[in-house]
Amino acid sequence: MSSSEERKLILKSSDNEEFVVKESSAVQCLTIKNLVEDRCVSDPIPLANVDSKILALVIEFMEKHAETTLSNSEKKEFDVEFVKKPFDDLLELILAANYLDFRELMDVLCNTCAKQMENWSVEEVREKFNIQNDYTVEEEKAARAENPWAFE
Amino acid sequence: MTREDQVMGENGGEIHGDILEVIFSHVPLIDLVPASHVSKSWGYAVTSSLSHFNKPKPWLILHKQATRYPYTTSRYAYDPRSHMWIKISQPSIKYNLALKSSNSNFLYMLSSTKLSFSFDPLNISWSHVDPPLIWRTDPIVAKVGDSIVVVGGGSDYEDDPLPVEIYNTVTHAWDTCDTMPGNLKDSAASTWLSIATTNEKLFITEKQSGLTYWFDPNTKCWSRPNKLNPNQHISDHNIGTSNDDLILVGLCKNGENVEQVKIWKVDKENFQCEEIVEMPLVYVDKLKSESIGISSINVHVTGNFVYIYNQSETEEVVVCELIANNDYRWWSIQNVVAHDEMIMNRLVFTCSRVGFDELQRIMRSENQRFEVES
Repeated sequence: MSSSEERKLILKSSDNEEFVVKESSAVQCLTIKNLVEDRCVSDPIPLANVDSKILALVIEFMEKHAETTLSNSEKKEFDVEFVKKPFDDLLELILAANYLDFRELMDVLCNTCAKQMENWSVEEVREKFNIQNDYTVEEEKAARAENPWAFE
Repeated sequence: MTREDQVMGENGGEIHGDILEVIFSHVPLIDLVPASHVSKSWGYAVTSSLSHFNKPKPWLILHKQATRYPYTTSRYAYDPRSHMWIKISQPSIKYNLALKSSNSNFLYMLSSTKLSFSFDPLNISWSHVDPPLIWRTDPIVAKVGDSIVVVGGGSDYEDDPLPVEIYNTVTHAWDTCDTMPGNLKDSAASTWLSIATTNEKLFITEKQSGLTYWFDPNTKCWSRPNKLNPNQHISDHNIGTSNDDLILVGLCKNGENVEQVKIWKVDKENFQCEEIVEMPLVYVDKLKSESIGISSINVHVTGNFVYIYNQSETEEVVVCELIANNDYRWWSIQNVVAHDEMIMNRLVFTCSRVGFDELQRIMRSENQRFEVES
């Protein structure tokens, strides 16, 4: 089977940019795999929740992990470099991986996210995750009094 | 994985709902405690994630105690939920005597003037009571319901097996009763015996022969002798309780004289054994010492977890997790305490269910610190 017979798919980002990918790589995303198996593939496949910047990164990861010539440790090395991105990008990638149901990417990203969180204080976490503090003033005071070390 | 909880705002979304809970499934339990204080919705998400995505799992705790005064003790815990070792800050009391454990998360220290014991998940609270009437070396000391049972052990003065003594934690009184069965007399010291406890009974198995008795501290009765006999010759028998089941972990050899480790479920009434699973040979190999293979194993069982290591070489610990019916996961971990640190130190293993609420309470009020060991 020559590579010119490899089926290709076109993925379209929310900002209307189109990306050509091998079907064999793309089906690592279960969302896409389901579309292919149900023969519901339109041309191109619109991904309303993923912009071009993030989609390009997802595709980079996807293609690397689909390469059968790479060893597991080479893939791990790639992963280590791949996650060296601004935290905001990581969060957007998590949302995309969740939307696409791309388990492997999700695991790598969540693990990285979890590791980074280990060293942050509550304030830092709130800032990085852009969290609305839903404590009342009293509740906030109580939380700080009981767990001062968490807030440092 | 649902998408219903995903919200994409103008600058990207706030991570919440299922996605946040998936992230939390990767966060170590000790870091979920501060995460739960970030906001109310994060607090709910932590609780939900712990229920649905990655539950707390029993920790294997190592207490490394110096054998000389001042008996400095360091504690480390392996959390299988996140596959990591944690260093736990100083114990809540000074361990002035040899620290021991016969099973589970029960720790004790015994001298001629007192018995100290602890059975909360991280051994924060300790009781100090008068010692048993009769002095003995190396007995079994175990908690069964409200009773602390002291069985066996050796004595320079007595040839006959020593009486069983029971301390009632409710009435704070000691009681003496019938001695342990004569058949166990020669192996009365805890090194030759393996025990398991339920809320009602103490089960004792002679490691070499598989001879097993139970003792009921409420009726003060011993069972008749039973032989654990799973159709295979076992050279080293170890028992434990997994949820409410009695299980046997045995060292044996297959037809080609290759060492195997197998797990059986044991009926608590008739002691019939039913084979559950066998340790993959690659992990049996990890337990072997270079010189003598494996002569004896030690086993810690709690909940769905079985931790197994070679008594003489504690560098590798093999872990077995029951995932669902008949589905087992095996892996091995390296002991965080290296072999050379063992000189001048004793290592006591316990296995403990450390829950989120308990951990939160401890971190808040007991001033205990936990650090991930890298």
